[in-house]
Amino acid sequence: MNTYVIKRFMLFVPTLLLVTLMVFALMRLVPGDPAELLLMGFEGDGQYSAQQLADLRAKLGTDRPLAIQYLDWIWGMLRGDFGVSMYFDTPIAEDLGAKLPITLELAALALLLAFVVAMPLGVVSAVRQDTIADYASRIIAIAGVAMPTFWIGILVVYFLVTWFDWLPPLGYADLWEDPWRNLQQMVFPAIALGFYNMALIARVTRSSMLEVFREDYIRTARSKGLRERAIIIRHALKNAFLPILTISGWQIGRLIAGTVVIETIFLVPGMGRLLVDSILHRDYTMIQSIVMVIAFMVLALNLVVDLLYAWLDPRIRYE
Amino acid sequence: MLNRAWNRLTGRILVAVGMIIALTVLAACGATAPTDSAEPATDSPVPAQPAASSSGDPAPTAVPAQAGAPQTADQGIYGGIVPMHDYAFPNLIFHPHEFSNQTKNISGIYNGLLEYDAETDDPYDITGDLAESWELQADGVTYVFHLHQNATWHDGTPVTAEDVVYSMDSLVNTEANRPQTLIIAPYFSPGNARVIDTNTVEIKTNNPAPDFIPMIAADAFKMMSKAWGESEVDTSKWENGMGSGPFLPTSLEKDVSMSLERNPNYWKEGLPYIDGSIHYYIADKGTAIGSYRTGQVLMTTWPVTNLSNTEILELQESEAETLDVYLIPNTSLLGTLINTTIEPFNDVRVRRALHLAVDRSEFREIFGGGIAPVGTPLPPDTWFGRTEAEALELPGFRSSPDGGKHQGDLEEAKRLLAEAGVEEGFEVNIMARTAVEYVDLAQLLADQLRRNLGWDTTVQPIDSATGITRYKEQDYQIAAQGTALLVGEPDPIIGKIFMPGGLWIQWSGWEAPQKFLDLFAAQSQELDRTKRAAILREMEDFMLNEDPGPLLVYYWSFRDQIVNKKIQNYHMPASIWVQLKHERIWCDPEC
Repeated sequence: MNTYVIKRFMLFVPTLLLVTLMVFALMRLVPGDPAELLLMGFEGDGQYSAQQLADLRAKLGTDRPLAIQYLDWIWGMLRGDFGVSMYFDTPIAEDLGAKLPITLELAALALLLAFVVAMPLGVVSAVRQDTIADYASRIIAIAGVAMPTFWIGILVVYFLVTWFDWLPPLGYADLWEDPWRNLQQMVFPAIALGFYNMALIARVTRSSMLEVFREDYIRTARSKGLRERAIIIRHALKNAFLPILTISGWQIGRLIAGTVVIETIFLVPGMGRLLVDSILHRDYTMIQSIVMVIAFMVLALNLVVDLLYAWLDPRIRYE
Repeated sequence: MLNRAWNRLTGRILVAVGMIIALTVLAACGATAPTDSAEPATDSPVPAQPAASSSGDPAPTAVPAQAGAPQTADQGIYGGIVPMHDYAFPNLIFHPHEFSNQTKNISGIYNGLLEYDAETDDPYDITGDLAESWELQADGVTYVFHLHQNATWHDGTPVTAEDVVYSMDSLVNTEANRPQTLIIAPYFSPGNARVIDTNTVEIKTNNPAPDFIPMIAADAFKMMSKAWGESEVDTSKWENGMGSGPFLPTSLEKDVSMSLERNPNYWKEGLPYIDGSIHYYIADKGTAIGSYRTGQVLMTTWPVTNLSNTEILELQESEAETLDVYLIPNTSLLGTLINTTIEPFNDVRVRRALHLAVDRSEFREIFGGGIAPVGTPLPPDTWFGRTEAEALELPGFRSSPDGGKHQGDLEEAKRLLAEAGVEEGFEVNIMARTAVEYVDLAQLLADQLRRNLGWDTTVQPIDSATGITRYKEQDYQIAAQGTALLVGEPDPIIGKIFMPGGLWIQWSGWEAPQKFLDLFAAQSQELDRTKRAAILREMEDFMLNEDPGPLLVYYWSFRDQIVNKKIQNYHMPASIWVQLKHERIWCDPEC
C-alpha cells in the first residue's frame, strides 16, 4: 500500500509538469498580445505609442524568450509565488485565495446535493424496479445526463424569475459573515451544477444495487429474516458504494470545470468566472495559475478516491 | 466498527437530505421579498446636509435632507442606493482620461467643464457643469469659461482655472492612453488653454469648430485637480479617485461590483439626491433580464447592455409596468468592415456591389427590432442626414414592391462584380468576434451573400482578443463590426468611422479620397448649420455614388438605457457617454 501511495505521489510531478507545458504552450499559440490588449482596452479603442507597448511588454515580461518565461513561472510557483495578474496588476495568490474557497464551496454543495438526492433516487429505483417510481427516477436521471450544465443553469434562472419573481441576491455574501444570504446565493447554482452528477450517481446506484440484490448474501440475509431496510442499507448499499465512489471521483474534475459556466450565469465570483474573464483578457499568468490549481485538485482528489477504495473494500490491495 | 460508522453515516445522510431540501425551499421562499434582495451589500450612508452654496447658484429644486429616512422634497427625494447593471467588469485603471469604458464608473466622481443637461427632454441641451457660463469670442475660435466660485475638489481645495488648463492638456496628451478624448486633438492642441484669473479660463481651438462644445460636454472630458494629477498618488486606482463630483468611490469587489457614495460636501447645493449606487457586473443575458424583472437592478450604468435591440424591446413589452426603456438613436451602428488591402475588396466596384447587394431591411427587422434607422453613411432623420423616407428610395437601401431585395440593385451589383472579375462561387470568410451580436449578424450576412450574389460564404467566430489582433494584422476579408459614437454630431461620427485614424477604419486599409477629406475639413469648420448640412450631403452623395468606404452600415443601432420606474427625473441622453453622473435622479418609491 505504501509503495502504491509513493508511486502515485511520484506520478504527480510529471503530470503537473505536462499540464504546465500544455497550458503555457496553448496560451501562447492563441493569437493576442496581452500588452496590446491592455493598451487597447476592452472596446479595442485604446491608442498607444510603440514605446508604450515596448514598456508594457517589458513590465509584463512577455518580451523575454518563451523558455525563460516558462522557467521563471515554474520557479516562482515552486517558491509559492504565482506572480501578478497581467490584466489587473494584482497578486494572483490574493485572487486565488479569495476565489478558490468560493468555488470549492459551490462544488462541495453541488456534490452534497447530488449525493443526497441521487442515493435515495437510485435505491428507490432499484428496490421498486419496473414500477412508476423506477420509471420516474430513470426519466429524471436520463434527463440530467442528457442536459448540459449551462442549459440547466439557464432553466433554473428562468424558473426562479418566472415562478417566484426572484433571483439570488446580487453581491457576494461570505459564508461565515452572512450564511443565510450565502446559502440563497449558492443553493441554486449548486443545484444546476450538481444535476448532472446527481443523475449519473442515481443511475450507477440503481444498476449497482440491482447487481448486489442478485448476490447470495442478500438472499441469505432475507432468509435469516432481516428487515428489508437493514438489508438495503447495511448490506446492499454498502457493497454497491464502490462503483458510486469511483464515478464520483472522476466526476469531481467535471464538477470543477462546470463551475466556469455556472459561476458566470449565477454571478458567483469564484475561480471559474475569473478563468473566463482571464481568457478574454489574455491574462496568461492568471490562466496558468488557475489551471494549475484545478489540475492539482483533480489529481489530488483522484488519488484520495483511489486510496478510499482500499478502505471501503478490504479485498482491494495495491501491491 | 466499520458497520457502526456506516450506520451512523447513513442516518446522517438522511437527516442532511431533509435539511437541504428544507433549506432549498426556504431559500426559494425568501424570494417573496424582492425588495430585500435588492438591498445593497454595503451599508448606505446616512444622507448628509448638502453644503451651503456660497455663490449665486440658482435655488435647488429639492429640499435638503435630514439625516435618517429619505425625505420628500418639492421635486426630489433624498436617499437610497441605486443598484445598476453593467455587462462587463472593466480593468482596474480608473484614471479619468484613460479608458472610455470606465466613464460610466467614474463619471460621478468628477465634473466636466460642461455637461449635457440631465433635466431637460432635449438630449442635446448643453449646460455648464464646473463652468457657470461661457462665451465664444468674435474670432470664432476663442472660448472663455467662467468657473463656479464655490466648486471644490473632494479634498476641500477650490477648483481653479489652473486645474482646467492642466486637464485640457491631459485630455490631448499623446504620450498617454487617451482613446476617447483625442477626438478633440484636431481642434485643440496642448498649450492652447490659458488662465485668465482664478475662475476664468480661455480655450482656443485651432480652427472654427462647431462640434467642439458638444464634444467636451460629454462625460469623457472630465476635469481633474492639477495638484492631485501631479502628485505621487496613483491616480488610476479606484480608491484614489479624487474629483469634484457628487459621489466618492467606496468599495470595489473584483468581478462583482463597485460602489459610489454621496459626496456630503458636494458644491452643488442640494445634490445629489441618491445616497449612492452599486454597479453590479452581470455578463449573462438571461441573468441580466431576470435581474431587471425582479428589481434587483434598477437601471443600466450607461446606455449599453449586452442585449440586442430586439431583446430590449421584448423586455420593455413584458415589463411595461415596471421598466422604461430609452432607445437612444444614432450613437452606434452595426455593419461590416471590409479589408480594402486585399483582392477583390481593394476594388471600389466590389465594395459598391456589396453595398447594393446587402438587404438592410432584413438586418433592421431581425436585429434592430424593425425600428432602427437604416444605415445610410450619415444617420437619417438628423439635421445633417437624409430623412428615413428619402433614404429608403436610394439604391442599396430600397426594397422591391413585395418587400424583398430590389432586383435592380442586385442586377447592378452582379454587373459590377462581373466587371471586377468576381464570379459566382467566390469564397469569402466573414470574421465575427464573439461579442455583442456579431456572430448572428455574420450568419445573416453570409446567408444574404449566398442568396443575392451566389458567393460561397463561411462565418468564423473568434474571441474578441484574437479578432482585434487579426484586425491589426489585417488578417481578414470582411468582418462583422459595430461601434458607438461619442455624440451624434457630424465630426464625432465621421471622424470615428470614416476618417483616417478612426477606430476601425485604421484596420481596413482604406485611403480616403482627397475629395472626401477636403469636404470633411470644410464642414468641420463651417459655423453656418445650413451650409454645413449642404457640405455633408455632398459627402454622403460621394459615398453613395463613388466610393462607399470600407464600412458597410446595416443600420444605426439604438443604444438601450433600461430604467426602473422607481427612478425619477431620468431623461433620455444624447449618447452613451453623456449624463452618467446621476446626480439628479432620485427614487420614488425608495430604492
